[in-house]
Amino acid sequence: MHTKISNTQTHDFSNSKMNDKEVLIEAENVSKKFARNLKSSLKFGIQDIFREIVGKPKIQRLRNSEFWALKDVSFTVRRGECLALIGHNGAGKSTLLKMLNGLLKPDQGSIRIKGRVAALIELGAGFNPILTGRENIYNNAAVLGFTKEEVNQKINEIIDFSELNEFIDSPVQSYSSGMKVRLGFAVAAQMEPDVLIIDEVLAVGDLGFRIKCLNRIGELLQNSAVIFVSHSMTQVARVCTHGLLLKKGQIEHMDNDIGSVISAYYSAFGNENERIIGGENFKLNHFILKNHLSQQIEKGAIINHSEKIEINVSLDSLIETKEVCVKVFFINSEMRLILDISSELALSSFTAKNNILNLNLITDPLYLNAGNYSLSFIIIEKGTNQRLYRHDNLFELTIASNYVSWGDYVTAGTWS
Amino acid sequence: MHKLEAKDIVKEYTSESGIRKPKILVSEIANGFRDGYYLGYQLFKRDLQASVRQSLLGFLWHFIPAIITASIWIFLNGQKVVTIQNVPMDYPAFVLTGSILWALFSESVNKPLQRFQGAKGMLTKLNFPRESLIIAAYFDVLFSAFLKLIVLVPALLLFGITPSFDWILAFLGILGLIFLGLSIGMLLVPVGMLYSDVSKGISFVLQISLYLSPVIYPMKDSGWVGMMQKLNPASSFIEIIRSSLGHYNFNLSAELILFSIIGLILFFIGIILLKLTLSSVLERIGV
Repeated sequence: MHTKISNTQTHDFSNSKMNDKEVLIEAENVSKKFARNLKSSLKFGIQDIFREIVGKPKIQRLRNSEFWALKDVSFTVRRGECLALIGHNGAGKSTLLKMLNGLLKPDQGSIRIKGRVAALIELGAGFNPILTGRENIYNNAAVLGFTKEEVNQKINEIIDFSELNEFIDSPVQSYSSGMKVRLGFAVAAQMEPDVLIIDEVLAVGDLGFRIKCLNRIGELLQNSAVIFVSHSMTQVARVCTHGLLLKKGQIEHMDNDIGSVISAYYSAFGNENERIIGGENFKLNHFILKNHLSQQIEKGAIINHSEKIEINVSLDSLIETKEVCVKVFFINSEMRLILDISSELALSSFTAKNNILNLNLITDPLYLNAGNYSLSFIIIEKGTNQRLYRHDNLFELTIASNYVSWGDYVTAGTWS
Repeated sequence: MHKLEAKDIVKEYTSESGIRKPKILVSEIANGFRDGYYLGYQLFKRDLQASVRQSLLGFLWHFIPAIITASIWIFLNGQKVVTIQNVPMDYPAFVLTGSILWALFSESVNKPLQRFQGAKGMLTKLNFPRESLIIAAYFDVLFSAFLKLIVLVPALLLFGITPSFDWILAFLGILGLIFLGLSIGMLLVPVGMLYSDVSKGISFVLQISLYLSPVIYPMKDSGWVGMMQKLNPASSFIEIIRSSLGHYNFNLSAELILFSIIGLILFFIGIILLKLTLSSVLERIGV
């Protein structure tokens, strides 16, 4: 199966080699407005229909209850480039995708698309749950623009790719959601587009299949101009060559350096509130961070990759304790615990003196990937392992690095 | 997919109305029908397979309602509860033909909006040739007409009506009736997608106009009812079909020609309207 894909690959490549670097997507001052209120929205719909029929352009000003969902967005994407479209919910990403895909017309500006467009926005469109997987391959493929002959030719490849051989003649309603996505992706993977639009469809399915999808997209990337929408910065860092950060419908940041766009995205996150989880057996007096020059640093400060930091903590103990162990957690913006610095591992434990607990920690070099981290501080009773104190979002810092990676832990090593 | 070089397909999206570039508009529509044909057929096949597979009576649903309507009128007429006068052919055959044709017409009017509403999810997410939904609607109604004929023709023979060459005219009339119904239906799609009033309105109007059409009673020459019947676009088609099947006189030629032309015009208006306005509609109804 793999060889088959690489065959189409070479075919595609020879097809497009001479057109290398041509601009396939061009958006110029694209703007789109929406109405907040359904009644007005429907009314404006009728108004727009009428203007469309009599040949008048769309109304440019904002009507009552309307707002700009997207304003003056311009960019170009060439063949072989992949533009990451990132931003918070409601920033206008989906609206932009729909306009690029020709589903919505811009209210201002223009979009030019060259070549065959494929949109991985919804997998499995056209599936009917009562029909079998095999029958639905034809349905889905027809929606994506394949002819019957093409599907007949590729059906085995599609079934192999989906890894659903056993179930292919069972009705799709008996499939799990992951299985449906696999079948949908297997069909979509057969497309050979010039312009590819991908909207977070990869966030589903099990790990093995997700890797397979990313690999296939990697193959498509080489010959297409790609727009990639995702909230997963690891995927973005892995796949994309450019980035565009949208905020409230406008371009906040656009760069060839994907790393800078990703850090702009992270820094756009509002600070999560500090939070104490469980019993308040301690009262925090101070939690001070110092950089490698022993200068105190503020919340949100930037630390260079592989630098050490120093942390001073002081707490009042509100209960009688014997010995305790402490930990500091580094949690990344995808809410995963990336680094656990534990005194237990250092075979150190502490005892409060006059009900005051003073601690000092010098970390190892922080080989964390570039990004934002929030720090949590935890106290555990030695011996019983009972958690006495947990303080989340205590501090935030950004690790900066010129090197873009989708790993959690990034080191140089010693090479020879 | 289509074996075209990238440079061959350039799409431009602006805020300008599509009607400003009629050449592009027409070629897009033509391409849409060409590229959407297989999808239209596939959608028809998909829904047919599914409806038959999850049903015990399956195809029977295509004629059960019409047969029951006809049976009720045959029964009422037989019991002298209502007496239908001046029927130009055997009443049971007359009313059965009428009901089946009316059912077919109703289906044709409803189908386009049903198709578009059913594909809402796909429409708001994928850019496939929208014309395929019209093609699917045509397949739906033509297939339904075929099934209805399978019941109607033996029934007519059973009622003692002899087939003749006129029947060919009847079959052409059926195609005309379907075409007219679908054209009216297409016209209702854009606004019907926005407001649910339209689909409710359609079924209501169709129910009422059943009683103002020559379905369960024959054409009237005079009076309000006669005029209403003549203004009803379906009347002349129903009459040409039924008179050809049942061998009686047809005298609505002028109306037939008029409504055929109107049907043709409506078809083109409907298709252009859909092409122009669908994106404005979609942005209002779906995320």
